[in-house]
Amino acid sequence: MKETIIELKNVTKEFKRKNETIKALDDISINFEAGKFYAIMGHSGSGKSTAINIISMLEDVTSGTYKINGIDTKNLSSDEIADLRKDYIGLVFQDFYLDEHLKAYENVILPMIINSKIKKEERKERALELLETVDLSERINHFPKELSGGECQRVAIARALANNPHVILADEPTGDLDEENEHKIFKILKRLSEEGKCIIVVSHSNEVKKYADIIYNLKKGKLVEE
Amino acid sequence: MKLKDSINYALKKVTRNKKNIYFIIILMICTTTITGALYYRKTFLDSINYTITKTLQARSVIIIDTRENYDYSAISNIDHIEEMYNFNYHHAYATSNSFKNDKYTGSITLKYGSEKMLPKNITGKKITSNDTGVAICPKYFYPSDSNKINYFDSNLFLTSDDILNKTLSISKRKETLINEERVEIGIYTKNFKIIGTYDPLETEDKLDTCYISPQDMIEIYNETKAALNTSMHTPMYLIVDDVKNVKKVSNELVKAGYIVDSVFLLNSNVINNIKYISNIILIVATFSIIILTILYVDKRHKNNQQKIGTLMSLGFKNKDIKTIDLIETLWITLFSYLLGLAFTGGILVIINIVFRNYLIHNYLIINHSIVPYLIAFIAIVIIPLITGYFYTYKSSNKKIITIIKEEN
Repeated sequence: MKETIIELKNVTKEFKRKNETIKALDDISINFEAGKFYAIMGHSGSGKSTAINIISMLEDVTSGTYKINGIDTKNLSSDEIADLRKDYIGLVFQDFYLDEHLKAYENVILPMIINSKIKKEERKERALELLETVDLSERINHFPKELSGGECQRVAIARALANNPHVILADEPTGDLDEENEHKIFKILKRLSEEGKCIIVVSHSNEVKKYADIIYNLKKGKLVEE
Repeated sequence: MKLKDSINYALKKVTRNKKNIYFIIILMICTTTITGALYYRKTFLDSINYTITKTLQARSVIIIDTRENYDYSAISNIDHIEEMYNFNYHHAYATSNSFKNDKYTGSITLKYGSEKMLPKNITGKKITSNDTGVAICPKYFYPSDSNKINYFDSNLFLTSDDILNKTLSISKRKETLINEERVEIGIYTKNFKIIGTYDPLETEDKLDTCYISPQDMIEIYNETKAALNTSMHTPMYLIVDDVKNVKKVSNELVKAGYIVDSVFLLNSNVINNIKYISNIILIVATFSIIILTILYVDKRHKNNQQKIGTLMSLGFKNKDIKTIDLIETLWITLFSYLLGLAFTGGILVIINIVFRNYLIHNYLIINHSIVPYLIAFIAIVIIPLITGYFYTYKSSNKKIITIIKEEN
């Protein structure tokens, strides 16, 4: 049995809108293990984004338990949660969210500057290695506006790997990409899962099913394994 | 996160964002405006202050008794008056034949040279109470109509060496009134030996002004103008012992029934006008900076919301974000400030060189001071930092996901 990185137990997330309470996630219990590729699918408004926000600790749960590497995040401060996010989770967004004023390798270095375990003189070398793994060795000095959508997303993946996290969380990573780039991205993520990372992808694209080990469908706040 | 990393990251963001150039230029202009306004204020106020504290003009009061039975004896009861004499003896215009040539018209001003009236620093000899036929002239002597020159040029003037111990021979029309018209009835001439020189820039005298003894001054008046003075209401020239007492003395003179005119009171209005104008410029410039900074920082933060949220999603803490943001603002404002300082400094140096003679002629000296730069520093650097901190603080208290998803 592989190591459990993230554990959700009886997690519920509610939002209050005017006079009603909406349950985006309803009593979800799930473990995410290292070395596996998870896909969370669902229609628009099904709660996919909420799910990834909870998993990545960008939002708090309303009730239930969230643990990462065995640590219960319930009473942690925002700084402590930031440290957990830095050490355990690498995030990839649909819109990449690269810094337009930094070159590709500088974007990859960015998370390293808050990681005291990576020495300053090691940063660039590590960034170049990561860009090589996503097949962008020849674009390291380019700014995001000089890169295609697929290339930007690959830089974002390299950035997500900067601090060697246990988990890569990708929210619609191929949403703005063509089919060819979509496959490239999923292949990279698949390779990372085979190397031992826990990959969690939220996507509405059916292509992800070809790569995922476990597929969940989110319906009315409930997570159901396909 | 180490401070060095924050500084490097912020510097990259500042130097690579071309839109920052507009804000930098505006802040630079504001720095120059603020320091310029303060230097304008300081230079003119220093000049007036010098006039007030160092020269006789500010301690001088002219009075006239317009009553039918005019009487100046009441003045002896008023304290703080150092000297009093008939204003008709205060100065006289004459022509110096000994200095009249192609270069100079020879027109000079002669001034009442009592002990209290003489300049403090004289090269050569002073005029004593018994002296006649002697004169103290400027060490930058320009025996021509000074109004025709509006700048100081040492090449134009006669120096101490040129005039000391030389003869100053003067001539002046003798006039009388016939049927209420001035009629020349002869020419008065007299020779003076120039026994000393003084610095007219210290006393703020015109460059054609020579001091002669009171006796000689009275003689010139009696010989040339006495016949014109049909009025019994002769003005008197008073010198007060201290500029602080001028107002008090003036009030007592008014109480005693005299009409009073004071150079000091006149300068007070000028002082107020200078302060008023420079204050307006300062307030407008500072207010503009505050508004511009708020607009700029606000716009930058709205544009940066996503970046802030992304950094937080990568594991950056609130204090890391605040540090980066503040350093970014500091880079821009500090750079603008230093550019503005350099620009202002350059302008002041150029003004001092190019307009040096004009400034000297008008008793204006641009003295460098740290105060304008400190005030500009507060306006250009501190205020934007505080504004920037406020916006960063607001952002960092929002939920990360809200920040990331916010539209620009």
